[in-house]
Amino acid sequence: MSLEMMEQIIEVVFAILILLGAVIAVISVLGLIRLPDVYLRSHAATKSATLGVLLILLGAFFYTWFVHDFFSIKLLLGILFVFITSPVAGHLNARAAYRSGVALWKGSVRDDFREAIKQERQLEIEEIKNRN
Amino acid sequence: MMRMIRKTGAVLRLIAMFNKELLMSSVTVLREVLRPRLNIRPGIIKLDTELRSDFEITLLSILICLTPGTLTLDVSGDGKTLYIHAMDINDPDELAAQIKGSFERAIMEVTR
Repeated sequence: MSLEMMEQIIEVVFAILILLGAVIAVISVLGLIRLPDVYLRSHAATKSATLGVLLILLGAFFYTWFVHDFFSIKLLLGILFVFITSPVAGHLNARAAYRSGVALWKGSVRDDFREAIKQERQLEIEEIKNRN
Repeated sequence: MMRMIRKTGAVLRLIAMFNKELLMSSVTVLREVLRPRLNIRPGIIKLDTELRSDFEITLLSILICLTPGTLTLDVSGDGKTLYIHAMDINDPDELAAQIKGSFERAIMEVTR
């Protein structure tokens, strides 16, 4: 196998990696539209931000490394920062939604959090009463 | 020196396990989204964690958030309980045990 052919194959493999990431991003947008409530939608949003972005950036990283012979730290840092920020955003969105009273979808089977919130509110009320 | 090698191994194991979980649960969520009729049973479950320090709990909740299909909603004030919104619950106890068995154990190996 000649060197040129090898390069061609490597290029195609990384192109497929990037394409796969793009497809996953598209599917998760579909999930964002289809899923019924804010919590399930944030599942779809976090998924595109992890696997989709991971595949696209990894594909770009390997492409610039093998084809252009350039080891791009920026792309790796991009993955790192997405992995740090996207879970925090998802967590805070869902937490704010629950605490401001957005109801779960009617098909939900279980809610362990409601009791905890109730107790917390109760404690807060008692504390305020004690202070006065 | 031995300790450093052991820690590095533990970190690598955590990363490998996270990637495995990420791929597997991504495929599950993608399948659920693409199914013509929605057939999911979402809900919020409680997870009593044995992790203690802030760093450990933060790491656990970030990993849970990054895995598609599960999302950390809140951490109780004393840091002993995590409330997790899951996309498809078959058996709540099994799901909690699965998270404890995989992520929690791997994090403990890294930090202790």
